[in-house]
Amino acid sequence: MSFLARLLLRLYPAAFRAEFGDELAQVARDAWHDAGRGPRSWPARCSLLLDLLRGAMTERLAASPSPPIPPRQPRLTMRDLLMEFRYAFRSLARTPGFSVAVILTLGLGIGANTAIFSVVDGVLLRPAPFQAMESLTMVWETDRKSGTFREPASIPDYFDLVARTKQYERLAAFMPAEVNLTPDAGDPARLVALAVSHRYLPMVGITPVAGRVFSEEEDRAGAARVAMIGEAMWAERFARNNSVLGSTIRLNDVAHVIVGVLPATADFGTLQVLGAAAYARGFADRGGRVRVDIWLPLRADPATAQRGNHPIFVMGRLNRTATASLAQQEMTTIAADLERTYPHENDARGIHVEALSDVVFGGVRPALLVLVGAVALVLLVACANVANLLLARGTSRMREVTVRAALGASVGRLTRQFLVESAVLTGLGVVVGLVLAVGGLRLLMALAPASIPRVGAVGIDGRVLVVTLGLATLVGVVFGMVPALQARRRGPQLTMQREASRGASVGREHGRLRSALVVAELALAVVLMIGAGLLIKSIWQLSQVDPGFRAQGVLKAEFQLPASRYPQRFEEWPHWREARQFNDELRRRVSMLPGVTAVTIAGNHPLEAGFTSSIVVIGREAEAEDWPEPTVRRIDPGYLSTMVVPLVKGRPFAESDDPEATPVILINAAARDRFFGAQDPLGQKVRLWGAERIVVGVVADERFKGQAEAAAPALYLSTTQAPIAGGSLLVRVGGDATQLAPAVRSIVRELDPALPLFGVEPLADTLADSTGQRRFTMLVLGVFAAVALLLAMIGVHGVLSYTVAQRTREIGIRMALGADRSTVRALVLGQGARLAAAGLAIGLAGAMGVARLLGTLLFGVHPNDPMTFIVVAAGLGTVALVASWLPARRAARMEPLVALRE
Amino acid sequence: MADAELAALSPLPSAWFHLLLALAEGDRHGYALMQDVAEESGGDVRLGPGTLYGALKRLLQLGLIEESGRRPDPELDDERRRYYRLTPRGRRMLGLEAERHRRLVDLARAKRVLPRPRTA
Repeated sequence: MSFLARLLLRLYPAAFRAEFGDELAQVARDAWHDAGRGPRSWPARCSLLLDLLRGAMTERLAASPSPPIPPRQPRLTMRDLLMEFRYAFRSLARTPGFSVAVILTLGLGIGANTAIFSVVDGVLLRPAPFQAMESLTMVWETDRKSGTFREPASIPDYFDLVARTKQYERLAAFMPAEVNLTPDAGDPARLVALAVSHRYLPMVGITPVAGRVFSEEEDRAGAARVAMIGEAMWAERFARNNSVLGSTIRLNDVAHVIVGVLPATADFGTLQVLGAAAYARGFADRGGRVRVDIWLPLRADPATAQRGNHPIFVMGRLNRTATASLAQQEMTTIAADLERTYPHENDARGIHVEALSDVVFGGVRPALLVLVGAVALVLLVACANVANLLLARGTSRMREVTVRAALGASVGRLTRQFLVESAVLTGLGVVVGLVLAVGGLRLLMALAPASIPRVGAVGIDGRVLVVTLGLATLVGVVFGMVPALQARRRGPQLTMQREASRGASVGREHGRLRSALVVAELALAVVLMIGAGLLIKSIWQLSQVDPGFRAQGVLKAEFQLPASRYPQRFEEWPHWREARQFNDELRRRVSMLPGVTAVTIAGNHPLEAGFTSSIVVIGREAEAEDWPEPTVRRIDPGYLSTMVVPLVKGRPFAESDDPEATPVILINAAARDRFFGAQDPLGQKVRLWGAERIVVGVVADERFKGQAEAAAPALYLSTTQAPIAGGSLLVRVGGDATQLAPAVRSIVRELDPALPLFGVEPLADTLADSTGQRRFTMLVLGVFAAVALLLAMIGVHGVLSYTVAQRTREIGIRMALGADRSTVRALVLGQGARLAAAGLAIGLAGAMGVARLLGTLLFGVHPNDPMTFIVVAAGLGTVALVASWLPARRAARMEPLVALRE
Repeated sequence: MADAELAALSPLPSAWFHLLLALAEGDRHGYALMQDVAEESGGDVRLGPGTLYGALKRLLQLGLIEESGRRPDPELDDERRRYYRLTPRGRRMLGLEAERHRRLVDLARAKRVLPRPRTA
């Protein structure tokens, strides 16, 4: 049975538990089990918990010393209730410190839980849009030589698998793409597309919201061009009008007939599958969240496609009788056959079957579950704090209660008053919590990495609200009962007696429990603060790393020239006249814009790793077998000066390095070290892309995989000899790079109105994004650390206030016997210091163990960085001192006579 | 105890009435009572464990039910389960309540709220 139900059972009065406890537990366990089997298990279980809670309250009220059947209370009118609320507000307003502390604590607990629960709900709990996702698997290719086990497949392999599988009911394939859309009106756009085999959508169980899916005919090479569009694009560009079906759109300058519209959920999991792949990740490499707008038939042709090319992703639905391991066995057999039949192309190739849900959720599930644990802990801590605060207040309000009871307030009336007060506190706590949740969620979503599936769909909805309100009600009722039970258990006379005998060491055990809780809070805060601190330092260190190029003051704009108007024929390479003309003209016009100091066009911008290719150094052919493939980067002669990449040796590219001149290359320092060692690379010949190219220069390393990663070996080709039909325009300006964007856009529009520009942003932003994952984790940890610190502070304050209230008489005696104010203050501060020291000791020890978990997120800082530990320790010590100060002052200001009379 | 005292308890809360009805057939333990009540009321009355034991405690206090010494089959049984049965007083109370309900039904028929039963 759940923890909650067991907890609720403990709320029953001892006498009741002694008589019925075992039975009740047994029946509750059975009922809990039964409820879990029904179709609506959660509502059933919730009502079971509510029933237990109500029973406990009823028994508690019945177990009071008042007569067993209480006299009937006069009916509660609306006016009475309003009066109760007014009174509650007034009494809470009299102690603003207390009220704010309680509301804030509840708000933080509720807010954090609401925000995280809505993420978990949106990402993990909501049913996947795919039908029976458990029988869907990815069918990856593997490469024993490189050790990669998540590679895309070749088209001929895919057709062989389809023909031979018996374990799969269906196999289907998809491939990421990006297309230029030229609308009738407005700017052209670069859209994300997914090419799918005609079986794909029926296989995963996605049905169009309008129109139909692709037919088998349309999926053949050479078939008439058709496309489907996504629901969001349908709404944005076509106002959800059905007349879009049968109309045409121009994609990459080719007219496509729209046959259907797919729901927004249709691209579910695509980004995670692509992101998991060893290569050919397509738009997933953009790093951001992307939405698939265009769906195209795959039109794969096994006759013309090469078996050595691996562009497509294969997914399958298992037969009813099949299991993943049976499928794995079958695929291993087929792969072995293929390897025998095609010893060259399929050398060392195998197949890896992996459940789709593991690919999609695998990366994020453990992290989210840790978050759930963390926020549950926060709520627990918040509850403990509120209990402490209420107890402290309850103690100091005994007198009020006693007086009211003596004046004739019935116990029921007092109980009602306490419940109304706690309802007001909880209500305000919920409001604060929801505000925090909405704000926090917005921040979280803005920064969340795109690898989290369905993250765009996360929001606070009815389900989440129900959970939040349920949580709040539980918290509120339980705490509302604390003072009421305090008063009820004693009864008015007893309260007066207790009031009179205060100062005796009441509830020492409870006191110890409260202190333990506070120590735990402090320790938790220390661990979180150290985590956040280490990440802050990492990010600072990262920002100090020289990326090898100067990103400040550079605007980046990407484009891709369509082959229809800019012929990119293999036989004409490297004489791509139209593309070259466009690039030259673009460079020329942009360079004349005011403020522009340099312009360059490169195949990849400095933070895009691009592609790799195998090379051979002439005369050292045998060694090349074991060499890693270097990255190949195409730049124009102006690139090095524009991006401020220093030349280490030799010469840069020149305009004279034209197709007729000797082919030349530059290499980076990493490539020199890896391929040439101590040898002088200048003058060496490298075979690449069917030509021998002479190394004419060595350039410093650019960190094109992001600041945290050292540069891989790279070769540079000049676009004058190896032309590009698209890439990144990089413009250096004197001032703010963003301001140049409209001018650049209008130049491109003049040159080619149908050409979309994309990825237009200052290069400095691109650079900052490359540390996005770190910053996100830092933010989450930082927020948690702040929350934990605040709660710990309130906790210390609550415990000390309670102790001071409890020890009033003792303190009075001490002062009467000659203790001066500073001694008393030191007494209380000393207790605070002991709590802080214990919390710090445990927290620091914990952090030493836990910080290692941050692992690769740390950069240039040791997990047990002494500086961070010292700063956090000092910070926490200060905070604990501040939190102890108020109760200490209150104790020191006590008048001994008054304290003794209390 | 006199019937007048029992009459003072009327009308019984419907959960109590259903519990007494379920016990009229024989001894039951708590969990079986929960299930019987749900079944006999066609799912209209569902007692959670909290409500159930609250009601059982009250019925015990009022002497309408008592703990039963008999256990049907020790093999099938769990030591912790206690069985309850109607006391003679509980049976009288149940009769009184049923009678009250019958009068209500008659009244409803007389006022044509319900159809008259067909006599065979």
